[in-house]
Amino acid sequence: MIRIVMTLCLVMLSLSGCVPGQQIEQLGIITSYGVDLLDEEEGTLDNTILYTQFDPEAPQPMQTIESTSSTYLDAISAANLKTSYKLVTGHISLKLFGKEMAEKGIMRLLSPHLRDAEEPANIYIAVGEPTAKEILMSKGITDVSKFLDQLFENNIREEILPKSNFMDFVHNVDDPGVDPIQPVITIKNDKPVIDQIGLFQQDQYVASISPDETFLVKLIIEDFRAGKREIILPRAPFDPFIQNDTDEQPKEDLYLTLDEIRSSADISLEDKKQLHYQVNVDLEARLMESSEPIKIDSDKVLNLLETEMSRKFEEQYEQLTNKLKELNVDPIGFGTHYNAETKHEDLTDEKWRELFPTTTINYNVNVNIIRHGVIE
Amino acid sequence: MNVNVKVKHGSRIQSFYLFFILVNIQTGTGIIGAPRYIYEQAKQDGWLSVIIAGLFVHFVVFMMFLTLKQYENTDIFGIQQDLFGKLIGKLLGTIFIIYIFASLLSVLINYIQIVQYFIHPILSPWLLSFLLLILVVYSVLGGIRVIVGVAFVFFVSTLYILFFLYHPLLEMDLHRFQPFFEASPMELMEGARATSYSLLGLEVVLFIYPFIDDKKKAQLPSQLGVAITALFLLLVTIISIGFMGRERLADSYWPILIFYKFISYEIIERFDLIVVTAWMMVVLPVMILLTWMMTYGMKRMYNIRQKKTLFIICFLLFIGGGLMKEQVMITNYTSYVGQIGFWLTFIYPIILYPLVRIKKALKKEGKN
Amino acid sequence: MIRKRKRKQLAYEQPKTKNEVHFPLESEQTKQAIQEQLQNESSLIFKEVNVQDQTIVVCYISYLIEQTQVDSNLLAPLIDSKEKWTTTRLETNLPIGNGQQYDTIEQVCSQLIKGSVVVYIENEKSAITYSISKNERRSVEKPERESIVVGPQSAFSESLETNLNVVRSRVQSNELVTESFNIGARLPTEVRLVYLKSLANDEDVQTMRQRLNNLKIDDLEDASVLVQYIEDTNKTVFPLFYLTELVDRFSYGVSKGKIGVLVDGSPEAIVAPTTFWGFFESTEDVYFRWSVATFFRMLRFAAMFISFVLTPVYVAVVTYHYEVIPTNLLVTLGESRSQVPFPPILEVLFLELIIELLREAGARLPTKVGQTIGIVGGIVLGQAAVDAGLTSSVLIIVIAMSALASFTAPSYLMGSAVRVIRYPLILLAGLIGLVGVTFGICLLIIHLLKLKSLGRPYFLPVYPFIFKDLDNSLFRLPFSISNRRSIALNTKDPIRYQERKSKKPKDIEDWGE
Repeated sequence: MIRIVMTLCLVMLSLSGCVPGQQIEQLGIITSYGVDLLDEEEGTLDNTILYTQFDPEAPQPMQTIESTSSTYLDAISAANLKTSYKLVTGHISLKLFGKEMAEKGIMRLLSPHLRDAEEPANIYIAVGEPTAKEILMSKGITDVSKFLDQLFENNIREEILPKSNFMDFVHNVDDPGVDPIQPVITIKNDKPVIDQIGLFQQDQYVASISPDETFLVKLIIEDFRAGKREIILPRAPFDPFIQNDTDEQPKEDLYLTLDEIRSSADISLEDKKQLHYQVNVDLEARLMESSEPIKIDSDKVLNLLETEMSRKFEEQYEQLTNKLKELNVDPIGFGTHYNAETKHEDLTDEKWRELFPTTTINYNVNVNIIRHGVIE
Repeated sequence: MNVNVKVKHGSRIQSFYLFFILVNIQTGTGIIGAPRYIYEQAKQDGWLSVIIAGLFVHFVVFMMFLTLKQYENTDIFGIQQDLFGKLIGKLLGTIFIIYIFASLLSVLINYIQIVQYFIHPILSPWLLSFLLLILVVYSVLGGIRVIVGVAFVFFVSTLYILFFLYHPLLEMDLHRFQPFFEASPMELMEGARATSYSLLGLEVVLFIYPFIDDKKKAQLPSQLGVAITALFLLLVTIISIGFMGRERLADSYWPILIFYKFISYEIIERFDLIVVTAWMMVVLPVMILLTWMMTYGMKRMYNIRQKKTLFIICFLLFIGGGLMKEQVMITNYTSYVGQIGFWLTFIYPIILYPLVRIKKALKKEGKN
Repeated sequence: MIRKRKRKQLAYEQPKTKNEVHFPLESEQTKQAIQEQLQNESSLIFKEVNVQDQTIVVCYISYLIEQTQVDSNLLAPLIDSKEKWTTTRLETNLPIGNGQQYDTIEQVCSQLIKGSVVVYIENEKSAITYSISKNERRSVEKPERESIVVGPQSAFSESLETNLNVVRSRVQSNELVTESFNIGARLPTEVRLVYLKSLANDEDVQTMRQRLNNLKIDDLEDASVLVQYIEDTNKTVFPLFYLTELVDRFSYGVSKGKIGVLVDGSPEAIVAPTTFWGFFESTEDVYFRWSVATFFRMLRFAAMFISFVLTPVYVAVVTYHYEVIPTNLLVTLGESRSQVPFPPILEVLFLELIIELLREAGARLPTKVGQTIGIVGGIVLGQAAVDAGLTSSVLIIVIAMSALASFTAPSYLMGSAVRVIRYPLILLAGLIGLVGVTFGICLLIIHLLKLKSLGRPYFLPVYPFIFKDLDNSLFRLPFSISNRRSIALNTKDPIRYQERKSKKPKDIEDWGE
């Protein structure tokens, strides 16, 4: 009895065979994928794929392939025809979308990513200006993928970029009442650089904001641990405290650098009907650098500095809010707060687009300088 | 067949192993997919549903022990025979065994699915079910002590998987839980019912009870075991809701494995693969325990040699595991098992208790 | 299976001697009978002494006994006697102890070949034998197979008497029992069952005794052979009893309530019952401070795990799961792999084979040559294999690490077992990747759970779980806390000594009141 079962099983096994392997030396490991829109009407894509191959003869392992297709998966298989290695997507670290492509919406190209178990979750999503191809083919650098990967990683760690991971992007697209922001990469001196931060309406690229403005957004959506920031204040109120030994003409502005910024912010919806928001930002920092030698020997100077800074920040916030409302983009996620406060009403993105411009938002920034370092 | 069972001293187990047995048999494959079904019913208040389900399960375990304490040393088969007589008792017992077989098959095919999805898309299901069944046969042949040992050791050696959940736990967005208490009581109850597949397996208490050495102390570890499973499920549901968000959660069959995809370290870049392979050690004790329950049941009712049942069951499982391939079929099958299991493991034991009491009362009257 | 064994046992039944020759005999008859029994041994010396009209036969095998002893303590008093000798007088009046009387030639002969002198007075009813054997044996030396750094450095030798001697001197208690068994029908060997009467579990002692008594074999080569006969099962690669050449390891086991078996002619002793974890314990752990010892013990467990998991994981990952490898490492791995013409599994098997060959060759060759082979093999062959493009350089490190890790097990048998297990795991990894490796590990754990050593679960104290025993096996605690013997052993006295209770919790500064 047992023997019969066992032999039967063994027969089955030998029939089914074993698992085909993918030995790493036979793989072309895709590290970056860039896509541009080739033909708007037909929706064909111009794909640029960077991959690593392990060829002992090749001068360098990084290789580039281009292909045209209309879907993401097709892009890979079309590219596969042009290489002797089996292209695999398990190590993609960056998906770069040309500006035109991004304006059309990119979720379509990301959805296979969510379904395919092979694709990694920790990848960066960015917009390439003018095209993704130009950036991935930039000549100044040998390994563009690695360069960009480290560029993102370092800047996120240094708290300059907001979190722009794939999952953050997908979450911000999915959740009603919040829009993603992703970095925009351009070429300068043959090298890719992060120049602007792109604002999205859902998955469609709309416009971009400067890193300075990004700081303001980031101040609300993420807490800083050790940020850095330059701030420009008018010089006039500080005149009595500046010891000017030189005969130079005094400048109009005072440049100050804040360092080791720790912040916390909270948004509260004061009025559900009128959509009135109150945003409180607490910011603790160390004053590191100043363009003019200010003598800080009393609380008075410090308080003055703090209030001036707060006012400056609040001004900047007003400008930013106006810009965001004009574009009708909500990267800060006022809509999620609205959604969280209202029961039995499923907020949709369309509805929030109608509501967002009508909101009034009041900012209150509280700057606290805890140390002023070497400056006296 | 006697109502009460005599068990040799050598094959008795200490009561605290019930904790591990229950945690193991309940966790299985259900927990990987459960948050999605719970979310479908109760939306962001799904965690409340899990708490409700957890409390209910505690009550069921309590009732089971109450029922078992009415007898000297018996199991579900003994109780059924005592209550309904030989014929109906056997019929009910057979239904139980068929249901256990069905749930065992669902565990097997679900695990095969997961492995195929995450690791080897073209891996032959025959091969994988063959490997799993070798392990099942090998350990069931060792008897109850080895089986309990497998449950214990595998549980302890897979606990580390839980630790890595700290990563998605920190990345949660608490807004996703708001507004609180939006779901209606009905939706909450439906959500609680959706947990049933992932909390199945309680019935093991009714099978293994005669083998417990110190029966007076058996209630506490069982309740703790049930509590821990419910806590796991709660944790996983909370993380799923907080981390995945609505559309993603509604979209993914195995939300838990998706979080593990986000965890990467300097040495291991992808954690989901590790979890899927290690999950074999979570699935195995379930399969082993269920198989043992069946062999034991057949021996108890029909006096068939356990070895014989074991090989027949494994052969049938092998066929079943190799043939069930389509995702839709598996999902439907699993939900059927969940529904039947809901009645058999959660409702039936509660009904048993009053019946046993009535029977006892009648007997007393008859004597007087 | 059982039936077969029974048949085998029947074959080993003691051959019955047809006609036993009984005393009394004439001197010439005695001589002939002994000659015949011993197949005309040419070194057999017969000396007839005529004292007081008696003919006394003195007989011995010359190379087995101490000649000077015979001359001064036996022959001299024998000849100088003024009275008539009787067998009883021989026993009491000769200045040698251990005189024993026998009344058949066969018994006498069995004493002769053990190094005894036979003295027989013609026509008496029995002969008397004195054991004056010459000990041409190794003295107590340093351990070679289980070398340790700290602690007593004496190893067992081939002589049972020396071994008993050293054990007695380490376990100085009148409760030390050394039960004697004679195993082997054709070539009997003396086996001693050693345990502490007041500690060792009676059931265990009885089990061991029974297994020794029930053992019907022809001959017994060594303690390691005895282990294979009396182990609980032979369907495993893991050793179930601890074989040690260290005297202190043996006596440590006995003093903790385990049972020891010494075999004559074997430089290794058996300690039972043991657990899986026990094989990673070294007596050094006791001599080191508890914190250091715990670290080392953990290191050994980790090493064992690495040893059998590392290469299979390498094969699995490189063949199937490139996603798991971090991108930077992937480039290094891929570049070194790209030179190699074989699939990873063959590459690994090839290199593992080289390592095993080196180990085997190193063990067979004399020490000095062995060392050279090790170095030449390790460095030159590895380098050459990489240069020739037969293996990747990363793999050399992986294999070397796992080989090294397998040698950290204090028990050579366990180290070998771990090395053997690796091969099926590598094959499984090559066939189905990580799923196969997990399958292998599961099978291994289930197997370990099923094993028993002297009837006690092999996986103790992890399963059946005994929390209070963990400090005796998985790690070590300071002696002030770990004052218990292993509960799993069920010794008669589980407490080693009373816990010292500090009277009062100390403050930072106490006034000394």
